[in-house]
Amino acid sequence: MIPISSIPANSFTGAAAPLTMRNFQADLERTSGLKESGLTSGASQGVGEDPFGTMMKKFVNEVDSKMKVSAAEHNKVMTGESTNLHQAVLAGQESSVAFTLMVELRNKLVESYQELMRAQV
Amino acid sequence: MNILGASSITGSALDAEKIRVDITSQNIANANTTKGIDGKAYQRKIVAFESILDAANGNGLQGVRVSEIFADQSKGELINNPQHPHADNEGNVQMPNVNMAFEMVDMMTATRSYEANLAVVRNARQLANQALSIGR
Repeated sequence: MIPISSIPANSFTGAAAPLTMRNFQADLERTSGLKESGLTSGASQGVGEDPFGTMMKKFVNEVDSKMKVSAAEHNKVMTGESTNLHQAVLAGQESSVAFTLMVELRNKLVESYQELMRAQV
Repeated sequence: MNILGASSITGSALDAEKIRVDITSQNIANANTTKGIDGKAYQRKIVAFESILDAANGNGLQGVRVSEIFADQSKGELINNPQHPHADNEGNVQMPNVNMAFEMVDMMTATRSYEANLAVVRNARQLANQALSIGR
């Protein structure tokens, strides 16, 4: 049993470090960065702009570009230009997950819109 | 931005392992080639990997790359066979230095590494789907 205090501090970043000591700072920064970019539904209301609309447009564009990449990769495998089948499959997975995320977001937005509409005047 | 976390890292690993399997299959195919492209007996090829920083994903994640494919310089067997068309003046034929057992083990380890990377991709997709199901 090695006391944790006797492990030198610079060995905490390796994969062999105990789980409690690993540095999760980078992951925390990444998730807070996602929140600030307005990807959650708590986006700030801009003056005169449609936050939901712009958010959906951004999502649709990203999903569209991912699907284009996936179609291009599949073409490359089919025409024999590339022998790396796994690249095409990975691109397909990526685009399918992105599409599902977009559909979930749309469901949430529609649900919150309906909730608002249901409020008695 | 990649939603599936380290998919470019795994992609690079799959590329590298596939190259390793290809080189092993080339070695096995040429196990009896007494006259290679340069006129001498075939020398088995060895693949060396190195890691590269994958800047696209930030965070200093390291992908894998084939650094070089070099020929193993050790000599193969010298077989005495005067009837062989490639025999030299003393009737000896230089055989390639390909050891079938080594090549089969290489192929098995490369295949297992490939499958391990595929399992990583499958897990990443499952994680993503389960995260999406939180909101359902």
